[in-house]
Amino acid sequence: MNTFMVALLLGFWSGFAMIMNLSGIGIRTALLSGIVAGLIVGDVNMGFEIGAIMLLMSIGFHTYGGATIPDYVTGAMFGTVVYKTTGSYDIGLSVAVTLSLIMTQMDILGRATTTVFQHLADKALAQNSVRKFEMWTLAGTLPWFLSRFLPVFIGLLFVDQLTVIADAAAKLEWFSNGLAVVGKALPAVGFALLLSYMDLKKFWPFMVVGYVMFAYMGVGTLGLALVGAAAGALFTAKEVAE
Amino acid sequence: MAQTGNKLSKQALSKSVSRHAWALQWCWNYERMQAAGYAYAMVPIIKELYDTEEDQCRQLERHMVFYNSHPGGSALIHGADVALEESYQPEVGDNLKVALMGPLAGIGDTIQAVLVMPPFNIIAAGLAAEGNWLSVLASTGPLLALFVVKWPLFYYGYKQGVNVIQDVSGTGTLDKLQTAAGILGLTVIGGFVPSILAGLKIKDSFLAQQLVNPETGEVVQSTPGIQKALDGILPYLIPILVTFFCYYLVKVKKVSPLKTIVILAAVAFVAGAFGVM
Repeated sequence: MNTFMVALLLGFWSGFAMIMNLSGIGIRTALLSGIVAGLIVGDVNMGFEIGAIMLLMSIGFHTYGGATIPDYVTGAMFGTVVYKTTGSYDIGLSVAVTLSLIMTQMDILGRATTTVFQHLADKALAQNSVRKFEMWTLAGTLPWFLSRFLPVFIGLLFVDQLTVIADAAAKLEWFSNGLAVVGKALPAVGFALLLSYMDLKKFWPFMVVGYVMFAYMGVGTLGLALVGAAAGALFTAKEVAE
Repeated sequence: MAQTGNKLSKQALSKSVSRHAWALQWCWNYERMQAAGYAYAMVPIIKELYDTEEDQCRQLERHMVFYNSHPGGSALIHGADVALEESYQPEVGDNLKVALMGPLAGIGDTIQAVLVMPPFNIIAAGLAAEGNWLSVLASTGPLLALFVVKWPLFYYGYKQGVNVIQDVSGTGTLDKLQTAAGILGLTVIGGFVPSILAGLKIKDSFLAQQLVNPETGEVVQSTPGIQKALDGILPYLIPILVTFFCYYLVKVKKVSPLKTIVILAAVAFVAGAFGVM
């Protein structure tokens, strides 16, 4: 597929997924967007790889719906496309991480410009037209769509140039080493955010249990989740009994 | 007022609930947030209850005031509000919206952001890191379930009318669920901090000193790497320290998530660039 089609399709997916997110259907995740990008460029597994690591970085950030946060979703798509064109996971990931941080501001655009359509909807009601009111309200999806479509579409049109830069940067050892460590460290912020919503004072022992299970016994995700669920059930049952 | 005095048809109710479920936030903006989306959902209702388009528009204007709640919680409010509109008590409905949007936003956000998403997202991310495709389901399924639940919530609210206020104030099971989810979440995070951040290690080459026999060029003695020493103290010490450093910034110092990322990224970049890690 040529660059233009890739840019168009992924731009469209981005905008569409944003509108679905507004409906509460959370398909705009880093993992799914990586997979969709992978499908479009012809290698699902590459998309899965990049999407998986970006999903990891994005955990903990979902509650900050109103705040400006890194756009790991857009990053995952660009990273997958670059991974496919260069064949290098490391270059793909460095593009994904860098763009996630750069793309943070587009969200504000969507939130602010929709006001215009709300005012047009007000006006339609003042003119006694229910149909026009409905039309302008639905048109509110347009700025939301564009706020995600445009950066992805335009950005991907220049993906070749981006790849050249990323490729050159990857040849600087100190630069790529630095970025690699950044990628490895970023999930820590997600963990910190999650911990900050949780009652660490009361339930810290369970965190120690989880740590020991992995660090000393090598228990995987599902095992940790099952023990956590069992502990949660036991604890709440005990509270009720008291 | 050209009231029709009609009872609402099944079609009007189902149209309204779908519109609310899909489009409540489609015109979301900083100024009045979900107002236009909510009014849009009320169109099928208002059309059956009022005769002339002029009256319908006046009624819809009532709904164009600031409104924002959790979309799931809002389904409950919407149901009760529709019942009140049907019995031509619009002022009661308007007051109910204002009274409940805050508390239901709180309950809805707690369920979604603390109870449902963190455990599922952590598990999804872990499965994804292990290459398991179940991760796709784990990361999108919970929100789909929360989307579908808007229909029963609407009809429950519609049946209860004003009485939903009592339902909202007495929700004790929520605390229990929150406790269980907190325990599950912390157990998994406890294992995740070391496993996901396992790549954060001091390089063996960093500050390693080797004594070389000057005549043969043979290495006769080398100091063990710093990482080895750290592992002797506690496995995965650096991942733990880094996580709690971020936690300290976010929770204690109230640094914004984005700033925390920038600080961490800067430190990590320097560590990587200078060959420390």
